[in-house]
Amino acid sequence: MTRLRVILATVIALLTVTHNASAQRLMSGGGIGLGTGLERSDDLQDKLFRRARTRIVVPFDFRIDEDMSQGIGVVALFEVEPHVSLGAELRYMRWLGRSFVGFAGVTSVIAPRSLLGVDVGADIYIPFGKSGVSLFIEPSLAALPLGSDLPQDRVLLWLLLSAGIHANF
Amino acid sequence: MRISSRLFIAFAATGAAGATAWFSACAPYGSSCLRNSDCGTGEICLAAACQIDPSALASMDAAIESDAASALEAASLTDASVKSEATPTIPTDSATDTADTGDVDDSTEASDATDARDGSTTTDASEDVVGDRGDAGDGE
Repeated sequence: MTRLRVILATVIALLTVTHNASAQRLMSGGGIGLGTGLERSDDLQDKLFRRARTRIVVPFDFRIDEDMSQGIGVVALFEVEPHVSLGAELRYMRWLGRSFVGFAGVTSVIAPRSLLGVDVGADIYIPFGKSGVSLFIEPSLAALPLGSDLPQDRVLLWLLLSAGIHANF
Repeated sequence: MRISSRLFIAFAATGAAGATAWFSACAPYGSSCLRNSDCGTGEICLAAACQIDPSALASMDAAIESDAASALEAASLTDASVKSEATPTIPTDSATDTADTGDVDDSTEASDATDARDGSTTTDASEDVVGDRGDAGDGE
């Protein structure tokens, strides 16, 4: 009997003392920016690089409040000059501070011809006050070995720099 | 019908050439590229320069050949239908027969001429006979 009372008292104590665990919250952010850079292929003989297409980037990032140091990013790419194409990117993001994020992912061009490759880069955030809005600068390096847009299966390299506005939702 | 099919092929070839010229005019042919999408329609990036896509040319040639074959087939079908419609037209044959009849008349004239020659021969023969008689008379 004494044993049963001790068990009940322990259970009651645990139930009253323990706080309710808070639900996981999805933290998200997004932005829009403009990018360009250099591109390189083995077909390029007379010079090392040429200018890459100008692109509009629309990045979104998602992470859980329980682990704010890592998350997933999705980026829509719109190459607009000198030729138009549509692409997308999926990336793993690692927050290495409040204003520095490294990432690695899979980047692609979907239309009018396809490209597929991997990329690495970093996002540097320069916040505007405490509003959650910031300026982002994103250098990245991509290697694209697959796709119908590649002549003779040459690997295409992109060394890109994008900049724009980012906000936390 | 064969003339019309040849005209069709000529039009098709002209159209294909025109389309090629149109696409080439729109595309930066020969310009530098690193991606196929840097080039215009019907072109690909080869050795860092936009060039005519050989596969596109092959498919275009195949399309032209297919069109030409179908045009020739249509022409032969039309010829056959024309022949089948032309077969029962007997008046054309009777006209030929009429011409043949004329030939027959000519041959009849020829036979008449032969008869005339025969007559002359007969006359000669009668003259010979008369001569012979004269000779005989002379002999008496």
